[in-house]
Amino acid sequence: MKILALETSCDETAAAVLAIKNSRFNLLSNVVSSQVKIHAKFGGIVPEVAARKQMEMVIPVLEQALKQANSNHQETIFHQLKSIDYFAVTQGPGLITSLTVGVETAKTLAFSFNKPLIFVNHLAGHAYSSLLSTNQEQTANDQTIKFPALALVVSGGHTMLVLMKKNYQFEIIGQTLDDAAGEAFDKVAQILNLGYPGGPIVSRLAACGDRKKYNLPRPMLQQDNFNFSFSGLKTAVLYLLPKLKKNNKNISSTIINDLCASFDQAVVDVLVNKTLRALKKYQAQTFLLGGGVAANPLLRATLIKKISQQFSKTKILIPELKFTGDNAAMIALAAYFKVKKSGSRIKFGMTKKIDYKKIKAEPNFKLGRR
Amino acid sequence: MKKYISHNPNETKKIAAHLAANFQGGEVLGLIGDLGAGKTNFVQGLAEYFGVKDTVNSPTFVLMKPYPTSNKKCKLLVHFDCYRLNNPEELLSLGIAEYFNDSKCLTVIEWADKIKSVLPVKTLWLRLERGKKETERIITILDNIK
Repeated sequence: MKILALETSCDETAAAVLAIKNSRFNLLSNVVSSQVKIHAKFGGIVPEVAARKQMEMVIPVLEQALKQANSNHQETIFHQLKSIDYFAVTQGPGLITSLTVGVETAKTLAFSFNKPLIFVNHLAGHAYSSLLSTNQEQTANDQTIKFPALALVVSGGHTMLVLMKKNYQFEIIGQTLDDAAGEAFDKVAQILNLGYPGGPIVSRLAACGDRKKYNLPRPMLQQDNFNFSFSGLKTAVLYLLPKLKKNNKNISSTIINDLCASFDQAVVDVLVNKTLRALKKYQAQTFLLGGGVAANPLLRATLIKKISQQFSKTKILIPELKFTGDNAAMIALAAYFKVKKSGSRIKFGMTKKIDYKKIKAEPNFKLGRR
Repeated sequence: MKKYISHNPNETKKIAAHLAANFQGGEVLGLIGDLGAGKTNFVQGLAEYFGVKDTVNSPTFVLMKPYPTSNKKCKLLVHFDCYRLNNPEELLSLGIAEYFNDSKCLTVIEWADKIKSVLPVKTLWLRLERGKKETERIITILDNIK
């Protein structure tokens, strides 16, 4: 089976081709064209610019993904597209103007080649992303995840713990009540004037700082649920900074590093602690990490250490760094599990009964809703 | 100008609910205030009052989140966040104008001062500020905004 996926939920334009043979995954290509540099210039995202860029990029990125997948250069693009069994696309959540570009492009492809189109929740993609590998020797198969599984999806827009009792079945057991973890990194970077995007910058500076220097709050740590809150942590940094400015003539790079380190530690403490509690409560056999903040070195190391110490039988799946950010490979993979779960019931083929004209991008697509 | 002092996040929610009691649907609320001023917290108070069942969290990343309510008059709460925006026209591409004219919808916009040129005249402006104490917030209803 061959799946071609598109992902345009925010500021990346991505396409990937995934082949599945004897239940094993073989990632034939994975192309991501990032707009981060463009948005860094604006200090954030600009929806109109994002969507226009998506429109300009989607076909070149698609072409690149097909070319890379065509290792012996023998097939024309047309024949390659004809050999695709399923098209897949991120339906949501995300930025409506960006999502629409991918959804409509995928519809056009499915319509032109008369193939089924699978709509995937972006967060389902992140939940599965740790199964991806560019190294064929290490490639996971569709039996790698043992259930029940627990996924921690943590990014700039989302922070949630997701219980999976079987494939492509998701139940959000906890989520952020205010800011996402990645958003907190971005905003703290903004408060400290460090630039955009904040996550990589703060975690890099944190590596040089003292993680115990400043006593920042661990929001909701004591509460007996799986929800998160990072807004107060951001505010704590906001209140700490003027005090530091008062006591020190100059805010030295040491102070900044220590602040980043203490903040990084506080976020990771909360994420890891809630994860450990959820693993225990739901007796999870597999732990999955996904999302942009999954690139955070402290988070990765702490999760591996603590889970292996406390739950020696739980399988720990941490994504390769290149699959932590938005990509289409994870969408193709999630689409595979959706196809496998639904079997022949999935018929978004353009000649079939379901009216594809009514299916559109859903900026607030909730995980587990259907 | 009317001023409220909130001593903690719960009080901020109560002040929001107190103001919401006058809303019929069709209002546009423009919130002004820095990072950590309690804007999202305030919107959570509105959502509670109108019986929103979903978790109302920060829309910074997706710029906008609509929430169905269980209120008869005001059936939809739409939460916008302009933190990442630079140009007011950007929001128009997200269809914000449709909500302004919807009499069953309450539109709340964080960082609204960034896009004031596209907001309707009826916009009710609120300023949220951090107080002297860490959990203290000052909420001011502004008569006009310059």
